[in-house]
Amino acid sequence: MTRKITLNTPHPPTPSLSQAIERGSRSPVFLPSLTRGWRGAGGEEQYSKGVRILLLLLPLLFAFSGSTAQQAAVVIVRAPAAVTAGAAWSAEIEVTSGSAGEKVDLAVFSGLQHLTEQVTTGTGGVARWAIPANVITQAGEGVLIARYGGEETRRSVRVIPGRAAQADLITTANALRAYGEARGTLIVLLRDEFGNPPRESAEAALTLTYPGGDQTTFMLAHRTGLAWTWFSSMGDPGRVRVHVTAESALADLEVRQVPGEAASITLAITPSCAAPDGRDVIRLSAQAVDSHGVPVVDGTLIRFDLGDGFGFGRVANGSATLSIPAPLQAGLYRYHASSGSVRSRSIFLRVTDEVCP
Amino acid sequence: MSKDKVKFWIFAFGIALLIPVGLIGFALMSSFIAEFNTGADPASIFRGHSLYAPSVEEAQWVSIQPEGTAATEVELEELISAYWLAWEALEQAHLTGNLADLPTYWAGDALDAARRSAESGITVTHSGHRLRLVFFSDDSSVAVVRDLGFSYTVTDASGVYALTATTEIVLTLDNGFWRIRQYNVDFL
Repeated sequence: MTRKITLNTPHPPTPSLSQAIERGSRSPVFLPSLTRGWRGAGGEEQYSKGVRILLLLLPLLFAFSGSTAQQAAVVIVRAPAAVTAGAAWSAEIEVTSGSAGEKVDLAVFSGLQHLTEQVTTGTGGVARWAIPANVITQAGEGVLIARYGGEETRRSVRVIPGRAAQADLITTANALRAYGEARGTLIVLLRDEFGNPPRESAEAALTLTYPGGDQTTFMLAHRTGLAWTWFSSMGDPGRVRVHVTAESALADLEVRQVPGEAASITLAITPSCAAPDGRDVIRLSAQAVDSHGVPVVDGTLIRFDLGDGFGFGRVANGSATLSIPAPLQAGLYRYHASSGSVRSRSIFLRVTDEVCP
Repeated sequence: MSKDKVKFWIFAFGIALLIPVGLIGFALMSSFIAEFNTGADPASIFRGHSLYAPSVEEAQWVSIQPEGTAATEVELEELISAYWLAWEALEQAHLTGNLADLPTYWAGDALDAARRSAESGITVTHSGHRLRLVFFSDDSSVAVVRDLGFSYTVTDASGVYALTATTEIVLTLDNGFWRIRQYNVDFL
């Protein structure tokens, strides 16, 4: 059925929808002429078939124009270029179409952390994502990703670590030879309150206090929270106290400076004369010192040669002892002690039936 | 059909059925008995840790000239294996929610961070690790490794995120295991 539009003013005839489409649906001529047609309907409005079809298609057209607007719209992310680990911050998301009610998927990656959120745009197509304090705590170059309408926008957000708050002090040598004859490594592991390697400006001040009271200080830069240095022994055996400070981080460590190898062994015997009755016990005592005259480290093994056999003793408090029964036959017995290539002078035990002096 | 012929066919069918069933039963019984004779896995005395050498596509050394002391070939293999397995443990923890493997390859604050990450309900995959040995201590107990631009893919409810990351990692040798103790991740 065809209806006729009655115009109250003389205008060119309104084109049909198919004609309008042929001319282009966005023709500036088409829509005004339709508008005039609606206004001119008077009390008994009559519409053409084309207009009716257009009215039916309007919701679809709106939907289509909406989807093309979403496809064409770009999401803009405004976020701080750098934030401090654990701080509260926010990002502003804007959809260029300016549409309200649009849903934008957001994700933040920082270290091993991953945080997601879906925000809905408000007036002007703008939304805000507020990230509370102590949520993004892992430092590093992070990335904020916004997804909208199949498009993705990325923005870097550098999460700056905090001040050094924790420190571990590690040495590769718990004990090293004294007198400057050995060296080891000291390693400092620094972290901020969230376990991140601290900011680059954090320096570790490492102080070594040697047994003689001498002090050495190293200022160490770190990389990924690791700072390290070689250190040498100094002075006599004893304890070396190591102390490190880096901003509010503290740590302590003790390293032992130990004597060197045995350089001299002095052997003593008690008593030096015994009866061959099998009731006397002979005590051999060896004192071993290093090249600086300091008793060798406890635990050093001393070998006692007894002529027809041998025994071992470990140094404790500078000396090693070995107790043996006196020989049952009278005579002069010769003993000596050794450690490595160092050998003591020989000492003698006289076993006699006579009365010992 | 005569009665004898029926009996014959029943017999023939029974024999035909008995042979394969008997063979299958024998094979199953053999494997069942054999299972009891294998004994304990000899590798179990090494606390179940195995040295896995990742393929070149998975992880490879691109530089092995560290500060401190040079690492031996064996130490390099142990390091790259532990590094790869640490990421594998993290991936599995994300996938299964089972965090039991994490303490084998992660330690200290890094372990806490890995645990929190694995509980976030996402899955991650990783590949293409290109490692540079930055530091190796003289007692072979501390190492710093830089991983240049590996692929890190995160999948969550909102989709898949393909990321490229560079990390610098401090590993320490604790009780015979290299463990990640500190790290810094930069997404490119």
